[in-house]
Amino acid sequence: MKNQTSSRKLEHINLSLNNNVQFKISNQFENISLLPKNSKTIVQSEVDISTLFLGRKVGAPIFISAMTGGHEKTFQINKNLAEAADEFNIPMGLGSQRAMIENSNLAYTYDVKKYYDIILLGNIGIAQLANYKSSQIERMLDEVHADALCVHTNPAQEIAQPEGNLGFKNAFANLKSLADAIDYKVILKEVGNGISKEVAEKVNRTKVYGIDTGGAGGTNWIAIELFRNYSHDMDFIKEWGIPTAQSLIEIKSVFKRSVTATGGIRTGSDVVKAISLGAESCGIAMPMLKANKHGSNGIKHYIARLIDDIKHEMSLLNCASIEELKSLKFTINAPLSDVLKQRNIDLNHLR
Amino acid sequence: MQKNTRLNSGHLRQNRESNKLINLLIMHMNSDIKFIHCAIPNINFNDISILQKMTFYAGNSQKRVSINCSPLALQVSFNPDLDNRLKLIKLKKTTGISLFLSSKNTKILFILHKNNIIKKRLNSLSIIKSEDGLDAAKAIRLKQLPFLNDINKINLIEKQLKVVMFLTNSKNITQLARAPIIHLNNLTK
Ligand SMILES: Cc1cc2nc3c(=O)[nH]c(=O)nc-3n(C[C@H](O)[C@H](O)[C@H](O)COP(=O)(O)O)c2cc1C
Repeated sequence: MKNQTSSRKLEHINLSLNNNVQFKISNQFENISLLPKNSKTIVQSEVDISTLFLGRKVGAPIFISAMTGGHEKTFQINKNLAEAADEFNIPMGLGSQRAMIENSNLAYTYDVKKYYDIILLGNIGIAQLANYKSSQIERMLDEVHADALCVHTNPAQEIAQPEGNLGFKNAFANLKSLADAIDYKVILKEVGNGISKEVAEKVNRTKVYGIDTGGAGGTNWIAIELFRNYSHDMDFIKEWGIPTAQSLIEIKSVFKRSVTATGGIRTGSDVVKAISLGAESCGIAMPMLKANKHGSNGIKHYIARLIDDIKHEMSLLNCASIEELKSLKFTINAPLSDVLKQRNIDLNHLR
Repeated sequence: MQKNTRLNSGHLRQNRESNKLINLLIMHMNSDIKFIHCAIPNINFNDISILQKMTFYAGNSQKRVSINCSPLALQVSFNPDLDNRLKLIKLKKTTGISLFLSSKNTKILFILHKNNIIKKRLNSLSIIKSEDGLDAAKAIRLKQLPFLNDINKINLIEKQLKVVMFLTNSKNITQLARAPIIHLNNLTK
């Protein structure tokens, strides 16, 4: 079991790097239009994209989303990601820390704060909450000096995994108790199938601090699991999920605390639209892993280009700051607008 | 005058036919839906039941009988040949699946109940062919009867149906029939 968790992490990375594991359906941000601010022209050099994350100042409204740790070969990846996060003062998520609870010798593969002073998000699966006491989870976070905990929920991934954990009966109750019990902020995240208004409404009644969309349109975990263990039986749900833009709007319409957008965020335009609709920040996973082919410099190069793109988009909208971006007028176009109408989403409370 | 009437009735017939066609098309179009993913189901996969209560009048009596059976129907041809009859026997042993036999104009649902076969006439529009568990789940959500015609696919489609039920937080067929959806055909292209 211990070894299985650790080697699965490595398998996921290799499969993600060597195959096309992206959704065919889009993140739906193409259906959002922002109306430029009616003011003096802003040039790119005037744009300031610093903002707050967990109440702390960060260099850009982006973060490296949860990916790895738990195998000796993943240590260097995490260290490279952390070096790049440090350079741009952006937060970074760790992959599931289950492996270090099962085998404390692997804790070092997550311990990037030993080298870089960054905002670090711990990570554990919702299905694992049944197996660990809150004190164990707190210790796991203490050990890596995490600043908050991401609890990932991934029923679609679990179902596509032959050894998947399908006991979700107490998952929500366990999440609620954990958020009550620990001294860390808890963020609920999906891994690529999105979070609906119904789930966000329930989470809003707990002490969970934030929700990350983990929406469809980017990395597709059902596809990754099918590459690991192809089963024709599961092919039929490959495009299952709520696209990131839809998920963001659904969550924002009912959840009153922090919301971040992850899942297929690839361009400056995606980031600018998500932030304008009320996301606090945008998470990016797979492109960071791909950029790591060229080590920490590859990741830094990727982030620098993305930041450039965000600033360029903001200058086109005459926005000099994230604050200004959040007050832009926007329109939601069909078919996303029709979907939101059918879902009875109240668009008046997004920001 | 008479000629006109004939013409009109011809038109009427034609209209009725095309209306039928349009209705059929609408039925088909409306059947394209998308389920909303539930990120935190509050069920265990193994607790999901696909059995559905079917209520009908047994034989000619007025007695109402309820049985639990699979929500899937198996289509067999109107004149069951030997092969189909063998299939029926096999099926009776393995699952509470209901069957329907189709002739050109009538579709009759047969429900196996304690060695008796009970008949129910079906509205031909209320059945949807299902290639996989997602099709079957869509049909159930649209209050229609999902059918397949390959007996060997029953287990697979039932398993896939359970997957959709898990991801929509539906512990049973009644909950699946109420799961949140989007009608894709109502979307502006
Ligand atoms: C190789 C890889 C490993 C991942 N491992 C985790 C994980 O352990 N925990 C988690 O919450 N999310 C994990 N994710 C999901 C990401 O955090 C993210 O939600 C998802 O990949 C969508 O973002 P993307 O489209 O930018 O890749 C992983 C993603 C990748 C690509």
